[in-house]
Amino acid sequence: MNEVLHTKLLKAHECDDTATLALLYAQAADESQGTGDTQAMFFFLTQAYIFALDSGLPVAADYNRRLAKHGRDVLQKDLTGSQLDTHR
Amino acid sequence: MSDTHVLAKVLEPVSGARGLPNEHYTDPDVFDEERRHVLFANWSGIGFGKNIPDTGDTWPVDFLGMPLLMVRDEDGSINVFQNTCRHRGMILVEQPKKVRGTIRCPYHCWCYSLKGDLRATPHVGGPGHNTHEEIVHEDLGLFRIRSFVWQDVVFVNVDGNAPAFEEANAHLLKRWKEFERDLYHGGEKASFKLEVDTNWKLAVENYCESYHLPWVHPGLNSYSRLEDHYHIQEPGLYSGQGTMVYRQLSGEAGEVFPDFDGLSEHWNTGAEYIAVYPNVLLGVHRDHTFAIVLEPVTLNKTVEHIELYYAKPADKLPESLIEKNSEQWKEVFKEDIFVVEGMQKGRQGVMFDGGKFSPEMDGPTHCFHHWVASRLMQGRNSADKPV
Repeated sequence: MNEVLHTKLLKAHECDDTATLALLYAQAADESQGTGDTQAMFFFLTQAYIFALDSGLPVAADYNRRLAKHGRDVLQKDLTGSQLDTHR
Repeated sequence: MSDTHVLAKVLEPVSGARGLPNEHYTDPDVFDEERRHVLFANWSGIGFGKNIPDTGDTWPVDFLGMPLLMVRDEDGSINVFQNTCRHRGMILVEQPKKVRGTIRCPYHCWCYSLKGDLRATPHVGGPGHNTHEEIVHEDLGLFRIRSFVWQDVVFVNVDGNAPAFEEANAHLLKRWKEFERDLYHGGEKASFKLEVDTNWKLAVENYCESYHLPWVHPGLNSYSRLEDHYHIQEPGLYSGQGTMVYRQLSGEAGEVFPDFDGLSEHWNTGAEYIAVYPNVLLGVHRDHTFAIVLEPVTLNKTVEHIELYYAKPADKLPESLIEKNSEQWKEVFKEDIFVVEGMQKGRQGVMFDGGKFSPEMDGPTHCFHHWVASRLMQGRNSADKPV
C-alpha cells in the first residue's frame, strides 16, 4: 500500500469514518490487484465490504458479490443497493 | 432467602396477611432471587419505543446486569437482543446510536442485521477468507429476547418462559382497550427521570394505593379527595387506583390538551393508575397517558423513567401546557420520594414484620405482595435454572 493511502486510512480510522474507510480499502484492494497480490486484494476487499456494510453503502453488494464469486464469502442475496439505501 | 413460612403469611387474605418481610428489601440474595423469579421470569419494562423511532436506531439497556439491545428494524418493528457478540462475547453497542447497514461488533467486526441475523464474519477463515465450515451463520444470530411493545413500553421476558404478553395481561388489555391507539410522545419536555434510594418494589407499592394521597399529596385534597378514588385490584394480575374527578389541565387562555377520540363517557372525569407487574406503572386520562419504567439498579437504588404521551403530535399541542403537565406530574412523583426512601430505611429495623395491612385501604398493595410472593414460591418450587 502506498504511503499516502496508508496515511489516509489511519486518519479515517481515527475519525471512525466508515464510508471513507470503505472507499479507501477498495482503493487498496484495486492497488493490490494491480500488483498481482491476490491475498492482499481479498484482505482489503473484505475490509472495504465490512465498512461499506456498516455505512449502508449500496456498493457493499458489489464487494460481497466479488468476494462470493471467488468463494471468499457467502452471497448475501438480499443485499441490494436500493435496500441498503433506505437504512441511511 | 426469606423463610417460606413467612412468605406464606403474605399469601393469606389481606385481613390476616403480613407484607413481604425485610429481606425482600435489604438482602442481596433475595434481590438476586427476585431478579430471576420475578423480573426475568415475567414481562418487565426496559424502555420505550420513542427512544428508537427510526430504522436502525439502537438503544442498549443494562437490565439488572443483563446487557440488552433494543433495535428498530426495517419493518418498523422493535427487536430486543442480548447485546453480546456470538463470537467472543463482546458488548456490541455501548451507547444509543443509529446504525445504517448493520450492527457491527467493534472487536472482530462480525456483523448482524437489524433482525439479529449474522451477516458477515470477516477473515474468519483466514485473511481475506470470510467463511469457515464451522462458522454457520444461521446458527449464530444474536440471542433474541422475547419482547412486546404496549403503551410504548418495551416489555421483555428474559427467561422466555412466561405466557405470551397478550395472555399474561389479557385482563388489563381488555380493561384499557379504549387506550389501544396511537400515542404521541410529548417531546423533550415530556421526559424525565428520578433517581430514588429505594428498592423498586416500594415504588410499585406506593403507586398502587390511594391511602397516602391526603397526607403525601395534600394539594389533591381540594378537588380530588380520598373518597373520589377507588381501588383496582385483580388478584394475580395487577393493581392500582382510579379517580372519578380527573380535571383537565388548562392554560391561561383556557386551552386544554386535545382528547383521545372516541373515549366512552367514563373517561370524561375518570382516570386510572395501574401497576403492570412487576415494574411498569401506567396512567391513563382523557387527554394524556404516562408510563413509568422502574429500573431496579441495585437492592436499594431505583431509577424511575417517566414519559408522557398525548393524542396528537407534540407540535399540535399547546406548548406551554406540555411543560406545565410534566412539571405537575414531576412534583407529584417527587412528593412520593421521601416515602419510598423512608420505607426503605424503615426496613433496616429488624423487628419490622412486613407490616399490618388495612383490609379496607391496602388491598392493592397486598395484591402486589401476593403476586411477588407467589412468583417466588413458584420459582422455588420449580427446578433451579440459572439465567
